[in-house]
Amino acid sequence: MSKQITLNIDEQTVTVPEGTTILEAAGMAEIEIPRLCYFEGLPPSGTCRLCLVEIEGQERLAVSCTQRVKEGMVVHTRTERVSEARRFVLELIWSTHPGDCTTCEKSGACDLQRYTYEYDVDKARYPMYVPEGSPGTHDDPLIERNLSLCILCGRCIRVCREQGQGILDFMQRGMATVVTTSLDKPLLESGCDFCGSCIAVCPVGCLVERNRKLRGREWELEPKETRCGLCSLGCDLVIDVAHGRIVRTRPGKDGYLCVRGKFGWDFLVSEDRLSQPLVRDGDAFRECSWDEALNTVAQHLAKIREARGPDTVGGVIGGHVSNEAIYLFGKLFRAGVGTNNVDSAAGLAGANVAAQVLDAFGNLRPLSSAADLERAKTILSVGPELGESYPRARLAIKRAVGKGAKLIVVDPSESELARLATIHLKPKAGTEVVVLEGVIRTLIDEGLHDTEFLSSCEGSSEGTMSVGSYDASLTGIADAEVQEAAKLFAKGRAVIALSDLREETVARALALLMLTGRSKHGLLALFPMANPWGAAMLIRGDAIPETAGLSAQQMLDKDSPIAALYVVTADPVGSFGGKDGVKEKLSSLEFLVVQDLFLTKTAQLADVVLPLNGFLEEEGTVFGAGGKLLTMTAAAPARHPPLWQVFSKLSERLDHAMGYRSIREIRTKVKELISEGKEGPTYRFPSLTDKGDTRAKGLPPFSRFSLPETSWSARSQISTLTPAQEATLDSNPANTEEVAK
Amino acid sequence: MVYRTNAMICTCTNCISNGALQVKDALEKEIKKQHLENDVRVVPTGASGLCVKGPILVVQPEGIFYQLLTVEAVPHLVEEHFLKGRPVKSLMYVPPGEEAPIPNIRDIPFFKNQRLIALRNRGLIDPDEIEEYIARDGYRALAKALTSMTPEKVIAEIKASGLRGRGGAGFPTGQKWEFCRASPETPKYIICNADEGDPGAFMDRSVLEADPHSVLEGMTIGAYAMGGTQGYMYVRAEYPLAIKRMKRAVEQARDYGLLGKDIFGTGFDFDLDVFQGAGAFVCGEETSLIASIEGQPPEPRMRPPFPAQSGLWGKPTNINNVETWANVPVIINWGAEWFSQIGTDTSKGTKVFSLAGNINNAGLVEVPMGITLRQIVYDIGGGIPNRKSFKAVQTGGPSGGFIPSDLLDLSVDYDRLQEAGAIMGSGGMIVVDEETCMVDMAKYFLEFTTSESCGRCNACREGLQAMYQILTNICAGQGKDDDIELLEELAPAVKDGSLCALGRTAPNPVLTTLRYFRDEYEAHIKEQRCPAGVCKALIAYSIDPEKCKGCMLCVKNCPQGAISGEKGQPQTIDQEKCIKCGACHEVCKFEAVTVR
Repeated sequence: MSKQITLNIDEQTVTVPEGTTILEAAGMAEIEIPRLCYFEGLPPSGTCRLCLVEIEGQERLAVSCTQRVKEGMVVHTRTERVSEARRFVLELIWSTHPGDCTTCEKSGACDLQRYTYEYDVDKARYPMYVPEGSPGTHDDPLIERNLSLCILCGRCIRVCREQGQGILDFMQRGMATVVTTSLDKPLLESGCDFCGSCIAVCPVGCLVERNRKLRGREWELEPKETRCGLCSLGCDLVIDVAHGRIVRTRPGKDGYLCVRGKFGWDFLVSEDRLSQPLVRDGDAFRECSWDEALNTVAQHLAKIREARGPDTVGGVIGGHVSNEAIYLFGKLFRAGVGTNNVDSAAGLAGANVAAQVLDAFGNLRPLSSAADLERAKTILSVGPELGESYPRARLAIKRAVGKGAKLIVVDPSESELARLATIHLKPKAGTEVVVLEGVIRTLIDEGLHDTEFLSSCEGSSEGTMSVGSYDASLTGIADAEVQEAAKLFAKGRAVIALSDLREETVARALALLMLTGRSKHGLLALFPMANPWGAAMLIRGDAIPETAGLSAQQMLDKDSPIAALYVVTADPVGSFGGKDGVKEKLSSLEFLVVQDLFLTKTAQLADVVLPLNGFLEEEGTVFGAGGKLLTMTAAAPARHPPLWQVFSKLSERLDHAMGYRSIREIRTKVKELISEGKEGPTYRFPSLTDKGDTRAKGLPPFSRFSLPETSWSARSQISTLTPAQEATLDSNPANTEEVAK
Repeated sequence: MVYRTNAMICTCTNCISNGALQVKDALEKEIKKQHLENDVRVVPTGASGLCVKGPILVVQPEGIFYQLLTVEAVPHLVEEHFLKGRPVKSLMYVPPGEEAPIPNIRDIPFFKNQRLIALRNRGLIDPDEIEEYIARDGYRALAKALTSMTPEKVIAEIKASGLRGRGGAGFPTGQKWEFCRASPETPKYIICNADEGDPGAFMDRSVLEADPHSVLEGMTIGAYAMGGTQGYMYVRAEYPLAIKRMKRAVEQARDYGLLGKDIFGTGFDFDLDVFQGAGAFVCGEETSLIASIEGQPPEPRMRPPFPAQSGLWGKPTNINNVETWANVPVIINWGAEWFSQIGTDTSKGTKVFSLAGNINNAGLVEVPMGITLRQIVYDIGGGIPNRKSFKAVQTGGPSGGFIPSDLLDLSVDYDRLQEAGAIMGSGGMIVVDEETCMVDMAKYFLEFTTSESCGRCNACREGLQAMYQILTNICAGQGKDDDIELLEELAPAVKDGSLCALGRTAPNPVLTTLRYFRDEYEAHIKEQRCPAGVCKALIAYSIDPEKCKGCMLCVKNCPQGAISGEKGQPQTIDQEKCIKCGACHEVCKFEAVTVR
C-alpha cells in the first residue's frame, strides 16, 4: 500500500494516498472543485484554470488538477480570491462563446452553463471576440462539430488519444486555435471510427450526436444502464430516453462505446420497423392482432405436425436474443412441438465455437473478456481486420501493447493492428490456418509446449495430434518468422483474439491454448451478435425427444424434410443471397413464420410475420465474452410482447403449458444450467457435437483435441472470410461500415 | 604567413544585409590589385556591435574603425590606408552632434564603455576557424575542467560565480545544474536555447555568429558537470547564418576531438546536434522547446516535474540560454572570484543587450551589471536622434515593461528592473522617443503575444485577446471610462492564471505603461486625444499660419489633395479629406504642421 498523506481541505482533514492530486483528494472528501479541462480518467492538462485553489503558504493560486498533495498542506477551495479567479476564467470564455443556450442541445447539462450560474458570471464583461472566418458546423456524419461553441478544453483530444486513435488535436495557436483533425480533413477521411467518446467528454455543446438533435432536452432524459447487444463483447451502455423514445446512448462504466454502441442502435427508431403482426393475404400481407397471428401459427404448426410428424417442423433463432428467449425457443420445439429440429443461427455465422471449446476443454473457462485481453502480456490476433470490426477489442489490445504486451497479428491485410504488431504474419488470403499450424509445429518441435499440463489432461496426449510440416510456399511467410512468432507466443501466457471463426481456425487456436496450458481466459472469440454462447448452449433445452435433430444448415438444405419453419431474428435469404437453394427451400415450405425487426428478405416469403423488440427494448441475460452472465435491462419502452411470452403462448396453444409467470423464473432455470463459478463458467449440457444425445452428463476436463484433417490442396480452396461477410450473416443492420455511411 | 595588417570585416547578418559580403569581395580584389595580398589579410568576423553603422571594418592591430562602407569607397580606402598609410577620415565614426571623427575603436564611447565577457571574441576572430578561437584561450577551460576539476567542483565554481540565467528569468545557473546532476536517470540532455523570439532582439544570434565555439565549449563543460551525454543546439530557422556557423563549429570541434567520444582523452563523451526551430515565440519557453525537439506541437507542460527531473523524452534535461553558456568558459578560466567582482550584489557579471529603437547607436552592447540606464542610452547609445527627447526604454521584449525617463538612473540588474515592473529578459532594449504613443506600444506588444500565445490555457489565450481588444478600442477613440479599471483587473488575473511564462509576463507592457503613462491612457479615453500624435483616430493635422511660409511642399506631398492656399501664404488642411498619413508633417521644413 502506498504512503498516506494527510492534508486539510476546506477545514476537513483528508487522508489520501501519496501521488493523489488536490482535486482528486477533494473529490474523496466530497468537495467538488469546478473543472472544465479535467476529466476523470484522462491525463490532466491544467489549462482551463477553473480548478485553481488557494494553498496556505503559497503565493500563487495552485492548479488543483495537476498539483499533488503534500503532508500537512492546507487548501482552501472556496475563498473569495479563488471565486474571483474562476469568475475571471468564465468571463473570458464568454468573450468567445456564442451565448444562445436556448437551442443548444447541451443546455441543462452544460458545465459552462452550470458554473456560469453558480459563480454569477457577467457574460458581457469583456469585449466579444468573433474570429474572422469563424468555422461553423462541419458536415461530418453522426457527429456534429460546432467549433464556435468549443472552449478548447482539450478533453476530446485526450480521450481520442486514450482510445488509441489520436484523430483530434489542436491546430493553429492563440485565438486562432481550433480542435480538429489532421489538416482539418472531414472526420470520414481522418481515420475517425466514430466511437463518439469525444462527445461523451465534451463539457459544452460543441460535440453532439447528430441523431439526438431535437429528440429531447437534457432535463427530459431518463438514463438507464444496460449492455450493448451489437456484438459479443456486451459493453456497458447507458441509454437516455425521452418522450418514450431513445435519444442517445453513452458509454457506461467501461468508458467506451464503439460506433455500433454509440450510433448503431439507430435502426431501433427506424420508421421501417414492423409495428404489427402480418399474415399473408394472397401475394400481400395484412396487419392483424397478436392473438390472430399466434393462433394462425399454432394452428399451422399443429396441423403439419399431425399430418407429417413433428420432425417436419423446425426452428432457427439468431444470436441477438437473450438466454431466456433462446432457452424457451428450444423448449417450445422440444416440448411443445416434440422435435429436436431447433438450432441457433449463430452457428451459421462461423463454426460452432462453443461446441468446439466444450469439446476440447469440457467447460467454457478458456473464454476471455476484453478486460482479460487488456491485461495480457502476449496477444495473438487472428482474423482479417479484427481491430476495425471490433473496436473495443482493438482498444484493449492497444492498451495492452501500451503497457508493454507483445502482439502477434495474423492478418492478410495491412490493418490497424497489423501496424501495431510486434510480429505481423501476413499470409496469403485463406491460409491463416496453415500459419497457425506452423506455430503449433514449432511449439512441439522446439519443446515449447506445456507437457505437464498436457499429461494432466484426460484422454489426451501429444501423440493424438497430427500436424503436417509447415509449408512456407502456401502462406508466403518464411519459416523463421513463424518460428519467431511461436517463441513469442510460448513466452507469455497469451490471449488469443479471434474473429475468424471457421471451424478449422478455431480448432487450431484451441490447440495452441492447450499446448501452452492455457486452460483459462485465453480465448476471446468475437461474434457480430450479442449472445452467441448462450445461443449455442441454451438452444438445447432440457426435455429432449429421442430422435436426433437437424442443424440450422441441414434444415435450410433444399432436400431437408422440413415443411414448417419458425425463424426468429435471422435472415438466411438475405445472408446467402439465394445461393445454396436456401430461398427455394424457404419458398417451398408449407408454412413459414418469421419474427424480426424488419420485413427482411426471409420475412417477405413468410406466411406470418411477427414483429420483435430490439436489444434495448427487452430484458434478459446474455452470456458475455468472458463467460459471465450479463443482464440487459429493458431500457427503452417495449413495442411488442417479449419473446418469452410469445413462445409461452405458442407452446400453450400447442397444448404444452410452460407455466412461467415471469422472465425471472426462466432466468432461475438458466442459472441452474450455467453456473458461473469462481474459475469461470461450467456448463451442464451434453456434448453439443453429438446432437440428440439424450443423456446429460458431465465431461472430463477435456476429451480430445484432434485437428480436423484436410488436405492442403483442399485448403487452398478455403475462401477468406471478410468482416463484411461475417456481419451480413445476420439480420443485424448495425454493422460498422453501414453505420458510418 | 605573417601579415602586417588584419582587415576585420564584420559579416554578421546585419552587415551582410547592408552589403558586407560585396564590400569584402571588393576589398580583397583591391588589395590584390595593389599587390598588398601578402601584407593585408581580410578576416570575416561577426557582431562588431555598432550594427546601425554597418558594414563595418576594423583595421588591426591599430584599431581603426570604418563604418557605412560601400563597394565604391573601397578603392580609395585601400589606396589611402593600406598603401599610403593615411587613414580615411570620411569613413570614420563621428559622435552625434559633433564634427571630429574618432579614428580608434577603443576611443569610441559606444565601445569604450562596454565590458566584454560573452562577446569577448567579437570582431577579433573568424568564427569559421576553430584555431582562431583556440588562439584566444578557446577550449582551455574545457581542458581545465576535464583534467583538473571534478564535476562537483565545476558546479561549485559556477554557483560561486553567481551566474544567473541570461534567458530572462535569471535563475541561478549553478543551482539549475545541481538539480540536473542530482537526477538519477540517464541519459541526460544538455540544451542550448537559441530560440530568440523577442521583437528587436538579436543577442543570441550575434553570439552564435561571432563566436559559436564559446557556446559549444560552455555546453561541453556543462555536460561534464551534469553528466550529460547528448546536447541540442535549438536555433530558430530564421537564423540561417548562425546555424551554418554553428554546424561548422560542431564539425570542427569533432575533428579536433573536442566533441564526441573520449574528449581530451579523458574518457568523457559528449556530442551535440543542431536543431532548427520553426519560429514559434513560445518555443523560447523551455518545456515548449523540449516538446518541439520531441516533434510535438510546442505547448508548455505543467511543472513540476521540472526538466531537470523529466525533460526531453522524459529524461533529466538542462536548458540554458546562449549567453549563459558563453559565460561558462570564462568563469572556469578566470575563476568565480574574478567573475563575481563584476556586477552588483545579486546580479554578477555582464549582460548583453540589443539596443534598438529611437537611438543613435543601435547595436549590440555588453555592459557590467549595475550600470545605469542613462549610461546605456546616452554614453553608449549616443542619445536620441533628431533632437527628440527620450520618453522610455523597454526591456525584456514582449514580456518586459517600459521604464520612464525619471528612472533613467536605475541600475540595471535583475532585481531593480523587476521592481520597476520590467524584466531583464533576454536582453532586448528598445528606446522610444516623445513621438511614441505608449498605449499604441502596449497594443503592439499585446498584438504580438496574443498571436504568439499557444492558445492552450484560457487566461493567456482569451485574457490577452480581451486586453488587446480594449487597447485597440482605446487607440481607435472608442475607449470607455472603465477600460483602465478593466485592464488593471485583467492584467494581474492573466499573470496569475497562466500556465507558462508567456502568459505570466505578457501583461507587463500594459502594466508598466499604466503605471508610468496613465495620463496618456486617460487622454485617449477622456479627452479623445493621442498626446504623441500617433493614434490616427484621435489626431488632426493643422498648419500653424505663424510658421507657414507658403512653400507648398506639403501640398505637393499630400496624397489626397487636402491642402490648399496661395503660394507664399499660409496653407490650410481640409480635415474631411485628410487621411492623417503625416506626409505634410514629415516634409515641412518650418515645423509648421502640428499634430493634435
